[in-house]
Amino acid sequence: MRIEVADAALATALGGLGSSGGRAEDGVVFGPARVTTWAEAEEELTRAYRLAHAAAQENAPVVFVVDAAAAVGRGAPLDAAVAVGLVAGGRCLAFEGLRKDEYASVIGYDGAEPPSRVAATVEFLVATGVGRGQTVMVGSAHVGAMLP
Amino acid sequence: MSLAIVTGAARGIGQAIAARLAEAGHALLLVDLDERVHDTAAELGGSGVRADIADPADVARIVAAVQERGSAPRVLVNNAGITRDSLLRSMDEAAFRAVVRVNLGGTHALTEVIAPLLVDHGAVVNISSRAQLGNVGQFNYGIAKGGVIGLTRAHALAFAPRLRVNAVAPGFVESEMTLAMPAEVRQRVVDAIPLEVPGQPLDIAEAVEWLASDAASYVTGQVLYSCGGRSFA
Repeated sequence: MRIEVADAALATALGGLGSSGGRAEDGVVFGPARVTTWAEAEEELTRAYRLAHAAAQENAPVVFVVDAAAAVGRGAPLDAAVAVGLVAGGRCLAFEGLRKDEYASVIGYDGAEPPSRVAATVEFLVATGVGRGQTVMVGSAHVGAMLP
Repeated sequence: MSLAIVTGAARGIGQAIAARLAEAGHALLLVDLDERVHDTAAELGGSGVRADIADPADVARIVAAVQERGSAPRVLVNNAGITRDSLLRSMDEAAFRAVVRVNLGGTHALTEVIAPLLVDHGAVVNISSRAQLGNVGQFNYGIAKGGVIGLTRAHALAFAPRLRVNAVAPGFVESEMTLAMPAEVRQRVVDAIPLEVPGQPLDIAEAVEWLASDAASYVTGQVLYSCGGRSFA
């Protein structure tokens, strides 16, 4: 798989599934960096577009990994914009891929669980097709907070 | 008279929002890239600014226009937006960036500079879309409108308790664009709506006016879907 995840610990944990030079035809995993300016936010979202676009050419699965706090709107505004944008992007990809059985989902990670749990979740989601178009939370820091 | 700023107000949903806010007693400052914004502003008794909310220089001109009015605004409605629909496999990067930059970047830019100018207990209402729940051919638009909800929530927390920030997510709303759709396509879309009719711009305007009003004084960080029930059907 092609894996581009900004968080270093997560990137290491996901190393068993692929790398930044991995094959998009096997699937893509993208985790945005934290951002402080609109230019950075646009760049992270565009990186997501490029990877998802590459996966779409190959009917390959897509998993976005976002900060769980940002995904429920508890992060800084631009981090929340990127995270919730990717939640919506995962839904759009899943919807668009239904006819061709293309898979997409989103993982919200709160940092409290070991990063290996995220790697195991990616592996499970892609292997089973469970959670298509949904956001799966790894961690319990935001129980009770409604997803957008 | 309290001032309301509405972007994308030259026509369609934005124009209806502006008209509804005028009826509710607000003075208007209307913003649009379309120069018809001046005609709409004249019709509704407000002033217009032709500006691109994705251009920092134009955002500065909007702020200057607000300050020229001499009174702090009470309401900001971020409605301006564009679409560049296509399946992701054929969507080019320019189409992705353009939609994200205007719909999400513009909303962020304007909120960051206008929110500090709003009166205490003022309101920001962002226009998102039911499409952020998933739509074919709208990866760019879905991301942008989902991002608007992320901004809505984070800004609601950041600006509380001084301001309220909410969003309206319209579904299929009758417009020049939707009326031009092939009849069978349009009918298929309408058939999927539980209330069996397309929305009207006034439906969205009523929701915005309520969220901007004191009647919604205990509501912040929320998304009101005005989509005939399509968000879950």
